[in-house]
Amino acid sequence: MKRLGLALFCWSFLNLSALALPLKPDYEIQAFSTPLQKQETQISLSEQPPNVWLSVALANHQVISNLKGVWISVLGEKTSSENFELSLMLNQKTVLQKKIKAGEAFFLPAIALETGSNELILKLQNKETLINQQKLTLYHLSERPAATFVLVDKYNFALYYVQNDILEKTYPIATGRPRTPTPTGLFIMGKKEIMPYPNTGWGVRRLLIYTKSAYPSRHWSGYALHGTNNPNSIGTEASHGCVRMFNQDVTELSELIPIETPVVIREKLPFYFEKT
Amino acid sequence: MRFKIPFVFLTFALSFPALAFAPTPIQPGKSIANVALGMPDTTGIQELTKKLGSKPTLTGKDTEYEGQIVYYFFFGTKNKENNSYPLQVYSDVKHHIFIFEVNTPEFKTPEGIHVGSSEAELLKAYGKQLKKIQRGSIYLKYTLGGRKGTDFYVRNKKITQILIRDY
Repeated sequence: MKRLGLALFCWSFLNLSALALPLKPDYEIQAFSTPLQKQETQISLSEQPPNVWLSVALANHQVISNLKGVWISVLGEKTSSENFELSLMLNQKTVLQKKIKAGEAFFLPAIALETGSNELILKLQNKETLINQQKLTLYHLSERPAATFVLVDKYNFALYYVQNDILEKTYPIATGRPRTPTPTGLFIMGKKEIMPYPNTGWGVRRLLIYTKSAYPSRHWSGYALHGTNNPNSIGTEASHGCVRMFNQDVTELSELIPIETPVVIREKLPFYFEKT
Repeated sequence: MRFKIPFVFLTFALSFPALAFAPTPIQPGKSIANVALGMPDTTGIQELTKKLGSKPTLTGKDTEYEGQIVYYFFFGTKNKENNSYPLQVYSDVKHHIFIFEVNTPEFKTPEGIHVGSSEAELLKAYGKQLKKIQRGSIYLKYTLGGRKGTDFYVRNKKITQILIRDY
């Protein structure tokens, strides 16, 4: 799964081309979650990695990643001794300017992001000539309980499963009605149940969530991520506060997530990722 | 088999006669079957009962709309698939009608838009007057008008519900 995550991560970055200027296809900016070649030089990692996590929306592809795992390299003819200037602009301010050669890589240094949406522009120049430019939208969220967790966006009726900081799955959900809203905050998925009668409102599976303080005593919050016998309700405010999912989705999720996976429920996130 | 179709039709017509014969007009943002938003619920429901030919099958108070106490009047037979009645009328704490929720194709706007119309037909009928609201991958609605307006809920490129509302 790690390899898949890495592949997805790299692949997402490789697909930055939608916003790239196709000036010189021989050279492109790339980013990797780990260095691809051991001999590549780590140029800058002077400070602690930022204690934030963020999602990166890259053209039509997406990852959620911890920024500290990102390497940047310039691909091209390694024999070339040409120097390029790589610059990073965050929210229209230059935060990094660096000379780099084709084939070189460096670790992205800590960049302080603002809460919410951030625009990051990576620009590669050869003297005055613009070789390539990539634009990324980064979202800084305050909560990242662990590298693997479930994130629920009530407004967009979406449930994300993030594994090792990489978005693995997006599922559509139903949330609570206005009078019986789905609670927000941090929960722990503490118990998985296969429901004996799938035609009930619980559907085929039930993943019980607990508040952090009540989890040690296993005092159930009363809320769960579960299936449904009314698939038409998915995508609406329909439940008594639980998070409803399609039966096939909750079955898949229950097989993916380990017990004690944190579940963060938020009113509204500043992005929406299509179902993967 | 020869008697099956008339029998089914008759059953439907007896249970909900007016709806079976003529499409009932929707005036977006205003009224349904000439019963207007803001009308006292007793008068409005009487009018609707006359026009639809049947009384509400379910009435009550204290639903889950926006956390406020409301009164509801549901007409027709509950559709088990979408868990709703063909026409659901809601009035506020002062007994003024503030929502008509239409879940059946029997009600049409003057432009011929009804539950079951395609998203393309809706866009063709109202074009730029519509405001698109998308939440997630499933929830999609088009809104016509402001606070007093009409919402067209779309799923799988078909209108699944029309809400004439004042809130």
